[in-house]
Amino acid sequence: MDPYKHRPSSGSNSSFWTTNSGAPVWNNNSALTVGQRGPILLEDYHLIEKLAQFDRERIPERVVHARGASAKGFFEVTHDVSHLTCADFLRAPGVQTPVIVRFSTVVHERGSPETLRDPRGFAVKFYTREGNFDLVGNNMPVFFIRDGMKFPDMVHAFKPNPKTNLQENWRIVDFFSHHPESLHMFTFLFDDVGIPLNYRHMEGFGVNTYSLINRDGKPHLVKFHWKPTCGVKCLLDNEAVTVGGTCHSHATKDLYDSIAAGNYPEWKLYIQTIDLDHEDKFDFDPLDVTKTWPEDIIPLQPVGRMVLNKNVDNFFAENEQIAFCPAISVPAIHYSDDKLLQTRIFSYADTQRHRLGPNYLMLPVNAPKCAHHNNHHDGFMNFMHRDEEVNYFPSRFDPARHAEKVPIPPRVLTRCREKCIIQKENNFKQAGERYRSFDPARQDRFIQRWVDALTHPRVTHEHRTIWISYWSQCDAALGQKLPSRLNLKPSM
Amino acid sequence: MDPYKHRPSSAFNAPYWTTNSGAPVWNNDSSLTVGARGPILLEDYHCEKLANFDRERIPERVVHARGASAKGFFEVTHDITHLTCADFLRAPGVQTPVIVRFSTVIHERGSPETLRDPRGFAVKFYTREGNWDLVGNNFPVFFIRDGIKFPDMVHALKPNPRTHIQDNWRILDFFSHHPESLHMFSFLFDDVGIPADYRHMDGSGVHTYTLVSRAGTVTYVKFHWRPTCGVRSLMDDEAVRCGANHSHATKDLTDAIAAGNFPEWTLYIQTMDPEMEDRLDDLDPLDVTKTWPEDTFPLQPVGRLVLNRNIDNFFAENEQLAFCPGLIVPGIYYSDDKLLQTRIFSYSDTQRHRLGPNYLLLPANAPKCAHHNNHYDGSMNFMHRHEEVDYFPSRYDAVRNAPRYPIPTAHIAGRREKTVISKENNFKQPGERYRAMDPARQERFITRWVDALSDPRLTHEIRTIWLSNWSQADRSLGQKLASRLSAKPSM
Repeated sequence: MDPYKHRPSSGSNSSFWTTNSGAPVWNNNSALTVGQRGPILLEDYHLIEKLAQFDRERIPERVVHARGASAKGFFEVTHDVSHLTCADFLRAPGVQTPVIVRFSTVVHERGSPETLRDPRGFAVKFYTREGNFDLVGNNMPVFFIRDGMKFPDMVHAFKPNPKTNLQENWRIVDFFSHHPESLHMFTFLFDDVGIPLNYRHMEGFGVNTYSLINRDGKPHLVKFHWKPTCGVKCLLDNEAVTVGGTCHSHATKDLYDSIAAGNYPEWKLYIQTIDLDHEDKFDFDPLDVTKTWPEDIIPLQPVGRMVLNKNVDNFFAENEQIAFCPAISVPAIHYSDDKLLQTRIFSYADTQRHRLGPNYLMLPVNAPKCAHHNNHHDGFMNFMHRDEEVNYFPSRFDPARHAEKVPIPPRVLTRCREKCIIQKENNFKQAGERYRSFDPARQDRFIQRWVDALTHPRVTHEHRTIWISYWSQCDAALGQKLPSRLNLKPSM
Repeated sequence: MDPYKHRPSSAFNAPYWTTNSGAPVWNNDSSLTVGARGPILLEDYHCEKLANFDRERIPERVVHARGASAKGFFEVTHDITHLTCADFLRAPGVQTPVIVRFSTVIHERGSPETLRDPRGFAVKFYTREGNWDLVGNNFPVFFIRDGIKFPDMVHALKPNPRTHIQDNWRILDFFSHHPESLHMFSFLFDDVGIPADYRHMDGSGVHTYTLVSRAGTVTYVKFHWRPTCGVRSLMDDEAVRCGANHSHATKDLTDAIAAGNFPEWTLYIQTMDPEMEDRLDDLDPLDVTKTWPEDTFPLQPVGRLVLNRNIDNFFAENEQLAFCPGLIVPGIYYSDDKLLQTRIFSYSDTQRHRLGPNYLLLPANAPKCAHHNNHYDGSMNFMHRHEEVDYFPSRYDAVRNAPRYPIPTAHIAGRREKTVISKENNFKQPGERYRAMDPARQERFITRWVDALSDPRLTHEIRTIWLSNWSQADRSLGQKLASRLSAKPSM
């Protein structure tokens, strides 16, 4: 079941035009008319097929991360982590795994400028011998909210106003005034890194906490980090206007041109790990996606490197149809109970079934490169050849068996049903620390962006008061500078 | 069958959150977990919220994906009942509600509204005889004459399928085979290629249509919209600076209407007696790459269009708004223009793909007059029906054919042909248009062509063809281009 073998390919093109059913087309220039100047005949099947195919070229864009660029390459293990995980593709230094990566912006539509202030998606699909592993992250290590239940409302607030189709700060500032856990993420988004120079000069993060499990069944919580070897660079706001105004696809072009020129982008993969027995020892909850793990207590450990050395052959096949999902994991890399990750396990596959159809995992870019087997039959646009007569399990005619048992988190789950928020919220400390780590000019740019957002005419006095209170709790000086720049009295 | 009556509306919202089936939601903040920190349970049916969100997007339009809409009215100001029996044009003073969608053409939803591109100008008239869609652009001509070339043409203008970057070498390669595009390029590469916004631009029906009077008299017609606030464009450097807001034209339209500064256009027509068409030496009226000279075919005022209302919801009244040149009313008919003929098929075909088979039931698309047919069922059919006879004819159903209205009477006779019209005349009008520009505007036009022709992947052959084409349009233009490209015209 290797989808790359014998797939339909433009490599087998005929030398003349045909219809999709193979009929030769002797005139691809003119429609079939009554005389030279008369109306077109319904029997011009070729015309209708050509137009009908064109009329259906577009599929639904992603509801988030619609705008993006992809490239291919490999991941190579450089450091032994087999004491932490028995994942096959991490089994030893030197082992290489083919990957495809998709970078993206988040909020705006396909074709929107790649210079907008927005997180950037950083999604890696590893084609391992144990099936695909999707590490679906961003260029910022934390997130705005903790529970995916809030994700649709959050994205609605960021997306253009449903009436005007314009992104408006009053809607963003309104929604997040209810969510002080977002402050940490905003210290990235409203910082210079909110507009990366391009896709090559940015970090990547797994964002959520995952679990590594070793051969003995011992679990560790883990965070993944990608660091670009060429360093992190950003566009300042005025540079972004010029760059984006000149070419709204500048980052796609930069990635493609770099790889075409042999200037292959490279990232190092690092992990941070926490022994599951120690998860209560911090002033943050390791399942809280709005927190980073301080590198002085939980150091970065190198694991491998990723090199992108091949451009995609076709944008639609390898970007528009590529489907990522944090649920797609390999043995010995498991989810955590992070509530945002838990909802992502459902949502990503669900939205791709809507966009691409039920057989989207058969598409060459999404299909595993290893042998695989199940009874998921039929459905729209199923192009797999099958000749089995037994498509039920169990059967005495089919020798297929269960795979070897893979280790999963051993912890006992006993609690009552809850709809609640984690206890250790601690919303202000890390945001304040990050702000204080900026040099004064960077702090000033950060403040200016907040002043701009909070001066939207539809932001109310109540909103401004809440935001000033929030930022004061992060950093007293920041809380004083904001109201004075806003010509407001601190109301605390 | 008025879809606005009793439609589901946010006006009937409950004061608290519910699921789509109406179940109360007592906590819209947190997922249902095992304890405060455990995994989420599958029984949290309220993840309906995520599934709905996962399906919010539908396919964007394959062209004209990026746009803005507004509503208003059309008012007849001049009597043209001698030309057409269209009910909504029956007398001066008659008003018809309209919705208009402006758009760019090539790039995706969310692309900057400052790109060099034609702009769509589509008007839906909700008349008493059904909807009339006048689906045009801000330019009066088009690149090609026959819709069989449309998919290839758009492919050439769209981003490269490998890199997803728009490339001049692909555009100039395709159009080097199509000198009929020169006239359109004399608009696209002119200043009007980047309108200041959607308010300050012309509109055009582009094609030749046919007006039919009550007596059955047939007249060819072209439609023109002229903004009362004048036409304004962005210079290339201004367009770059506009990069600060990639939705500047949407914002301008919304803000203008919200401020009571209602945009207005005057509708003009040019008319031609079909008997004349063989007597025109240099012009085929079915050729969409030609304008009709206004000194021979003067503009006649018909009415005015005022946009005085912003839309309530962008998805319902922009993303789901479907236009099709196939939608006409009695007294207005198509012509045999081969591009228009293909558009009659394509527009509804693509909306069936994007929106589903019942897209004409959606409130923005449904007629505002009584209507009736046996088009039943299909995905997302939300119309209540209680008839037992859904076939025609029937002795139980009194519905009859509508009264006959006049259609073009000309005999159609000819062999099956796949051919190009004989009066091509590709060079005269673009040359005239270039010569009508003042020297600074000519210079900007040339600079844009030099930029395009400097694409490193363009071959000598393609450059030579373009220099030859522009030389045939205007000798001095060809010479200037050649010298600026440091190449000799190889004519």
